[in-house]
Amino acid sequence: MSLQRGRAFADDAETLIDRSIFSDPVLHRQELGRVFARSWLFLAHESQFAKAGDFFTTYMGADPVIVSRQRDGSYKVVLNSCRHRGMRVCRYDSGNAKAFTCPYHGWSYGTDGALLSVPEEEAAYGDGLDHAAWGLAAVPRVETYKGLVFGTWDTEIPPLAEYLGDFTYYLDVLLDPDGEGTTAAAGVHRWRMRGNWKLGAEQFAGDMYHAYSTHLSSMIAEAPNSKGIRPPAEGFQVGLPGGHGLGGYPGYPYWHAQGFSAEVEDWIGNMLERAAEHLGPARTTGAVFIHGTAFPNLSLLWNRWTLRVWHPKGPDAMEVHSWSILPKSAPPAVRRALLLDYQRHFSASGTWEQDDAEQWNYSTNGSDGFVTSSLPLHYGMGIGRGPNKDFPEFPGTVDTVYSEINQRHFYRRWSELMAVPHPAEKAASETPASRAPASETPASEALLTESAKAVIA
Amino acid sequence: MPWIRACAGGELEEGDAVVVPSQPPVAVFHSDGEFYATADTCTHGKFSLADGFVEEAVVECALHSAKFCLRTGKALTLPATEPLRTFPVRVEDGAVYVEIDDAMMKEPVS
Ligand code: FES
Ligand code: FES
Ligand SMILES: [Fe+2]
Repeated sequence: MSLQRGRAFADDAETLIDRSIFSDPVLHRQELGRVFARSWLFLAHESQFAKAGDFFTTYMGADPVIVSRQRDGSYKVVLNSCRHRGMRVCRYDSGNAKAFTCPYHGWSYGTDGALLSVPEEEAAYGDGLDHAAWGLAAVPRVETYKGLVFGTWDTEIPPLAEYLGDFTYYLDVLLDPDGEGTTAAAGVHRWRMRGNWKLGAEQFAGDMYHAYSTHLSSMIAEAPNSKGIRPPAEGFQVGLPGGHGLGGYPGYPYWHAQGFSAEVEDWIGNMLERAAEHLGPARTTGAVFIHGTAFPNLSLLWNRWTLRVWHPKGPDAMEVHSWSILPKSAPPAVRRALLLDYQRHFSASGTWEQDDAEQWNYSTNGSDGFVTSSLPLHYGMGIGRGPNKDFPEFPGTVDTVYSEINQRHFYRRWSELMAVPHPAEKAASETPASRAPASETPASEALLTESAKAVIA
Repeated sequence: MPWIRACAGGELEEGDAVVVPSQPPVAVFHSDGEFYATADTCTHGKFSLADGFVEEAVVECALHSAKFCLRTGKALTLPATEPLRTFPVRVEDGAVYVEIDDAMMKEPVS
């Protein structure tokens, strides 16, 4: 199938998805500019930066970046790629630094990206190297929301809080349950797996449907007599403008099915009461949020106290960074129990994590077959069923728990962004090579496939 | 030659350093209970040694890891080969003073 004007949907009713969005390398390149460079991207939790010079390395789309705390307490995000030969100037996950020195030839940059020092500068460059022009590129906008640090390359999109919109109503339950805030447990888990990043993002946005198939063996292992959590019929999905989405259940005694000790159960019960006073009952004692995604690639599991980002690694692989986010008010024994619960289920070695990874691997793996890619996928669950009226206080479009409304929201937003070329794509196609005299020009035109040309056009 | 007040002794924790904003700047280090003063600028590539790592009367530059002896100013490792100038230090009434040249005084000295 050929993608129409960058749309993910294969039909006008927007119930079918074109599988090339999971496998096409040209679309993937475009996505890095059109989607990632035009969105607010989650980077880190503020509790990872206790003092000036503390840093954390991550990605924005496929671009490696360093997030660091400056002497004035602000955050600076710079590209982790030397301006000389492109070497990574910082090869650590996190730490504290006064400066970043490139291991290749030794150019040194401040944590704010400024080029500080160049070895043998006089002998090498005389006074011909303009330091002001050769610092590490800095991300122009960095903002925080209740402990979460985000950055964007886009100077025109709305401020972060506006971008998140009504998603913050739900996000606050994880980040601000009782007015005391949260801290990230030490150590961010990172792992790579096969699968297109959108499969993770869309599943966390709106897929409760998979749980009782994908995770069935894990549930049975946890509750050998099948006294585990049963699927209540009356949950919800909430689709939000901007492509965000989440789902959950009414406030049934969910937490009591988790197998926590009496001490932890008591603390959770108590915390929910305090949260109800702080945030009102509708989203605390009245409902439990399970899964959600803030467009494009920040996903949450409220019930496992965790959030994660899906970083694309080409069309068929991703790198996950995953945090355990715990209320500051939790005593040490409770923190330990919640952390262990997260690790058992959703760290790299988590049982539920591995269940999901298998699905994303083989869903993507099948997307680039000749015949498979000619057949669209079914995204029509819940179409024509009308709204779910059981949760009148929830902002957004509320549907029943088994509905793909959020996936459709996600891909509508993705399609909107993909329909408009990023200005930098033009610069990239006008490389010096394509402007060079014919004798020196490689046959780069000929290497472009017909379909690539069609998409670029 | 003028004695300049660098800091209150208690302000400077073990392993820390302050910069005296003279011309050129001088760094005062606290290592193993002693105070030392040397030129602040690394002789390899012009970086502030007060931002370096201090251990056992040795400072390691944060940029390319050159090490200098704080007692003698000697360059102990590559990539530095030139020594640092050292300056006399004294502690009086709980404050740390360093003696610099007249010509290094910058207006105003803070
Ligand atoms: S690549 Fe970084 S200094 Fe040469
Ligand atoms: S600048 Fe100090 S070691 Fe290079
Ligand atoms: Fe899952």
